[in-house]
Amino acid sequence: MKTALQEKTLHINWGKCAGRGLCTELLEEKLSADEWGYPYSPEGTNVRIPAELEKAARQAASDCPLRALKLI
Amino acid sequence: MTNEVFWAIARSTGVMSLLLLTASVALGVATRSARPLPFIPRFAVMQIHRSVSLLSLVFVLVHVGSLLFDRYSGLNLLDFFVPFMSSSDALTNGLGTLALDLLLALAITGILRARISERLFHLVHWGAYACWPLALAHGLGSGSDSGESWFLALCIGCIGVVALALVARLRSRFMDYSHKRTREVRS
Repeated sequence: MKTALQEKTLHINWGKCAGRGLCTELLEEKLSADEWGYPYSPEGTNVRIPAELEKAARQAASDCPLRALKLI
Repeated sequence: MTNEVFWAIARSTGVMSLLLLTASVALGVATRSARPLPFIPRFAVMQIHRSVSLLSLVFVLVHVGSLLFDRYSGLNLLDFFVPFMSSSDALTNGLGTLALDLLLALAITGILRARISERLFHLVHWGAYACWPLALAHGLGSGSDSGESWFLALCIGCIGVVALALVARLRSRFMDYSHKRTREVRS
């Protein structure tokens, strides 16, 4: 099924995330560091990624040292 | 005459390799700390670590490649991969060979990272802590620059950089946010 404008979702795997903070720098439009340095989004674990941020989200996912991010 | 060119290339790329490997270890430790460096954000520390590491591999490959053409080194292709077999300086050349084997393993698992298990990547990556001292010992023991004071000064500088990184690594507050995270566990 084609979603509207083919919007992607960035999934945060909390079992893997160690709060190394690269994603909050690479995707600061969507993620910020919480009090303990872990990525925070008001959207929670599945963050909607608009088309203009897809490239940044893809890099955040591929550069995550724990491979805790998946762009789907 | 041409032989001296290959020897000169081998020496200079060897020294450059040690400097780049030193930078790679220090940047790798910095990456693990999850802290930004002055003027360098976290993601860039990781990317520089990756680039410097790959560059060190290039220099090491030119280093061993030039020795293959150096008639006096007496090294053959097998000596670059199987340690302690060379006809001259078997021990110190063997240390370099071990360092190269480890570096290749580190590079291959690094490049294939997305396709291999995270566990295997991290296991092999611990080998970096063995690769650097082997490369240093090889530099101090082999070749014609090992006794030179400028080379010794360079080695002492490299040891200082890695020692500082190790001291930082072993501190309990090594990681960013570690203060908050451990306090949270205790309360």
